[in-house]
Amino acid sequence: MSEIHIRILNKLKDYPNEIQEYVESAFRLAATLPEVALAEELKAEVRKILKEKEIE
Amino acid sequence: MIIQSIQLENFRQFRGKQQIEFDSHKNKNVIVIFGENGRGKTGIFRALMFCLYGEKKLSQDASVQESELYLVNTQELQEKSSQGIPVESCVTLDFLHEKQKYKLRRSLLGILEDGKVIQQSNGVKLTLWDDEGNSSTEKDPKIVSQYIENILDSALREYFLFDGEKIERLTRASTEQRREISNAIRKLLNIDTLEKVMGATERLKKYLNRELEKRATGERAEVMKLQRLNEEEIEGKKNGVESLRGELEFARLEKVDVDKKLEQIREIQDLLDKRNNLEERRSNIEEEKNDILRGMKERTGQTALLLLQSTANNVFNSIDRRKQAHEIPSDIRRDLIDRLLNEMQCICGRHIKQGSEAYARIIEWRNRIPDNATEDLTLNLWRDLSSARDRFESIEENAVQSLTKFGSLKNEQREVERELERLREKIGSSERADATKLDAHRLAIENKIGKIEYELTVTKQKLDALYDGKERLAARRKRIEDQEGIRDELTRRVELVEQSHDALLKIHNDFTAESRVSLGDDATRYFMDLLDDESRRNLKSICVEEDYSIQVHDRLDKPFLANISAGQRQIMSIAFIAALAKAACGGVELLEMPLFMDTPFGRLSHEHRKNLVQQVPHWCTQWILLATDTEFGEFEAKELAATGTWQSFYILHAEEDGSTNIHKTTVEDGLGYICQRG
Amino acid sequence: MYLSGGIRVRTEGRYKQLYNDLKNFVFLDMHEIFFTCAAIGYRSGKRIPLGKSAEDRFWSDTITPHEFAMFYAMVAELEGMSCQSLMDAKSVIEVVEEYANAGMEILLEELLGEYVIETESGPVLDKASCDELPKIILAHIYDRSLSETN
Repeated sequence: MSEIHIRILNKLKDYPNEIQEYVESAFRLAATLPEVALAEELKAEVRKILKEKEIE
Repeated sequence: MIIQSIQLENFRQFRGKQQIEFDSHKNKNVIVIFGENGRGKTGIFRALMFCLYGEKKLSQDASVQESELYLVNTQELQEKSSQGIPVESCVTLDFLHEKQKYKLRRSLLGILEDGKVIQQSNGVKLTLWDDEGNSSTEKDPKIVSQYIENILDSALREYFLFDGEKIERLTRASTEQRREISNAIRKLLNIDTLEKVMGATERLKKYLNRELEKRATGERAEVMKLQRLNEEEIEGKKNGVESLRGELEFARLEKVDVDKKLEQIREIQDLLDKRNNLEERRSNIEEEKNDILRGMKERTGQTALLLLQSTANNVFNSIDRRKQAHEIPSDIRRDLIDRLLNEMQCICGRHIKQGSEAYARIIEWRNRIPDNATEDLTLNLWRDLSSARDRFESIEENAVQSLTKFGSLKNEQREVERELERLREKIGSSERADATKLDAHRLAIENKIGKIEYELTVTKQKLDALYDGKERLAARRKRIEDQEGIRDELTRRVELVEQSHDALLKIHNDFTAESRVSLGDDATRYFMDLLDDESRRNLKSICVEEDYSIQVHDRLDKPFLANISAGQRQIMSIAFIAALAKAACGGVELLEMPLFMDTPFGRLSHEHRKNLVQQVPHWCTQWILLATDTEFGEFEAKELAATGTWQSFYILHAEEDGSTNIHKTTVEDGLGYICQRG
Repeated sequence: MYLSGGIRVRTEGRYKQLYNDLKNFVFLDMHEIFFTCAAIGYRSGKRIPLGKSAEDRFWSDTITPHEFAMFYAMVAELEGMSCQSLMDAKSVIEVVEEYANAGMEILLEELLGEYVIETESGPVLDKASCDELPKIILAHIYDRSLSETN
């Protein structure tokens, strides 16, 4: 993970977990996907995060 | 990175194998590469970029097609092509990075076919040595690229070349300048990915909200629609702000242009004042002439009296003589004599006879005396001629006076016209000389600037209001959703994405703000190092504004950029690029990258040049100064020599075939060479 | 009668417009123009009788005493200083008219030619070139008077 990613995640420490998870996934996917495709993928990611939260 | 040597083979102007060596003296870290324009100074930086990144183009080649950029030496190409042999062009770089030794070799093959140059990559080879001196080699371009990216990110490579154009670009407040800085910061922070994620999140947010709007009913649907409209308006206003900024900048540039012209006029203000005075004098002369002409009109008729002076004198004298002779007025009037004759009496009372002598004498006397009417006329004539004669002198004087005055006015008028003509030539074109028009134009521009600034303020205020509206709508929606217990899955998704987007936006702004501050601080330190004493007293800092423009503050913390000189601007620019280079190196105090400076002296005063030459060697591990003879003369050479940091001197010689030969000399010889050229 | 009013002073018909123009641009009144022309004609020793086209130009009442005195002086000089010849003011005027006629011709020849345009009815001033005419005529008269006193 690049230095900037580490810095970003550090800054998100005070935010809710779902947001941290969202951002982490987004950066992971962004390494290989262009913006439009990334937006598509994130649709599913968001559902996943909320479902996991529900289960908790 | 510390370069140890760079070897060029048939690369650009450098035919055959040529080399520049960088000795590793800790204190002697300055290399001067000296040559006229077109001899290949930038070519050395180009070689470095090609070798490290396989890049053919530099930022200054933006408008050049890559296919037109020939790296292979054309003289060698022409010779070998006739034999059908391709030419290998390569660059080999020996360098140290974090104490590890590297050798990087990259080459191209080139051939001339049907007058066209065809180039293709011929591979890359990276050799590394470990602490024990064992070497390993890598030829895979992707892996080599990774190694190099870890040493210096290719996105940041341009900050190690300070060329004149780049320096110039950063001196002027312009969209270009802001874009350059904003791009630099983005590259430095490596926030491409962050921006990509933000973009994707924005898209996702819009998509989810559209879905939600479709499914919403009643008040919620209405609020969502309002939210969408609000977003669209915000977008519109943001574009509006950008466009107004562009207009403002354009108007400001126009104003600078007009001010320059007015400045030129100030230089000729004396001449303009003189011209105005002469024009006033010219119109006064015209008025005076007209006055005199009016006076002459009143006098011309009288002046004709002078034409009959001698006649008047003759007749006057004739009558006067008769008066003197007592002929007129006669002692006795004629009518009295007529009575005597009628009464045939003499004046003494004696009776006279007709035909007598007495009678004849009386007749004679009578004939001599004019009749009364004639006598009266004669006497009146004498009187009028007398008064007319009295006036001759004054009539003549007046005529002479007015003619003389008129003549001298005409002469003055001619002189004034000649002088005006001379001034007109000196002053030049009417546009330049027309300060009034320019002043009016400037006023119009100022009004325009005022209007745009006002519009900008209003638009920003509207934008702020829209943001407030956005918050209120979001709160309203939440209230509705809470009230109606609407916490369906879609709504929660939207919430998550919106909150994530806001978080990312805040992070982005924080990073960029931190970067701006840090760049400003570094740039200020470099700036202070380079400025002359007087400037240092007046100027306090450089900062990067929110809109990514550079501003200079005076000691009272007031914006001062508009008032600094061209030389100070150049120093500011160099300081800023150095700050970018430092950021690119991860913010270390001593830049472990070679700094290439291509003719940086430009408009700098002697003191600034001296400071540059004294300070830059302390900023970085290696300073490669690319200079022409007009830039780097005896003064600069002696100052540099005095610092003790000057390592070597390379002269780029033009060969007969048009190629360039790199010739190394000692610093002493180099100094002598420069002093000799004068 | 001395300084008789009531006499109509005449000039050639063709000079009618010129007299008007000169009155507007150079002189104050008709009598001044007439006087100047008469003086020029007399000094040059030239007189031209009026032709059939002669017209009344102005009343003798407007002639100033000095001008009239000069007219008398002219005729007296002509008649060998005889003041008898001056008794008939009308005949004095008639003599002076002939000198004025010649004087105008001389003036046109020597000076005004450049400043007039010939029309069917006679010469008229070219207004476009009249700006400095008062000065030009004054200078001409003055110069003439210098040769007259020499």
